[in-house]
Amino acid sequence: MDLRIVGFLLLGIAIGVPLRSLPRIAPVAGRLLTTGTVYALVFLLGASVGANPAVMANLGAYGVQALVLCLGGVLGSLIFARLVALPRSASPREE
Amino acid sequence: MATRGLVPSAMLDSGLVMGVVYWLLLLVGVDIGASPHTGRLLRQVSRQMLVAPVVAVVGTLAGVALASILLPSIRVRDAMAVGAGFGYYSLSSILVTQLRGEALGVVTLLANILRELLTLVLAPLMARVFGSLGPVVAGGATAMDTTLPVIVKSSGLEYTMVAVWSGLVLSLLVPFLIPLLL
Repeated sequence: MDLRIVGFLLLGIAIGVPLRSLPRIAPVAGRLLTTGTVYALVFLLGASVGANPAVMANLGAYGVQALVLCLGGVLGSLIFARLVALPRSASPREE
Repeated sequence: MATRGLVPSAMLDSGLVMGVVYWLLLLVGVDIGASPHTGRLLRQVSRQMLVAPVVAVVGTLAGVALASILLPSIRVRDAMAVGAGFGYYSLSSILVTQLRGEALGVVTLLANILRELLTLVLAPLMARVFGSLGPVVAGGATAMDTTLPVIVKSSGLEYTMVAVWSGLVLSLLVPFLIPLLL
């Protein structure tokens, strides 16, 4: 665990508060910057897999197992989240 | 691409990745600070904050256990250890490699990277189909940093603290759950 994670979040909040006086510019600029950064992160993840020869050599064999387990875990948590959220999600756009 | 030297290896060390993550967190913070709803946000989240990590742990472990039926070469407990990475691929793959060897370690790395990628790409769809809590639990441990921006975008600003809290609890659980399962 890394205390810098909380630190950067708090620093961002401190920068953001005075930006409330720019209600037109701040949200758009923020969204563009955030989306660009997410793409950079996805690229770095892919590159670090590609740079690892041991992983690349076994990608086919292990990749299928990883995909199945990943989908199982994600779908399991999503379905459970849906069940738990049922009483609350009586919002107009649902169902 | 990276194996052919097109991407400088210095770019791939965890220092740069963490730098990008910190930059992302700064942007998320600015977004929170600049939002007029921030005050309200802190008061109405207690129930979801309790529910989210429990849903993520139980749902993930049940899901991977069921999925392992499709994989005869992987034991149920091993599959659950892979799932117990909750997307925290660096830590979980190291732990599994040490406790159970290279092969399952690579599967852990890939499965947990995939979990992060899947959440980054599909968070809006998850929120629509499975409700606002969906992207939070799908993001797992990464909900507090790398997937936080897409979760906030898909589920709403009021889920920021839920996501950070859930991600934090799951990150702390990884080093306890994986040795327990293996």
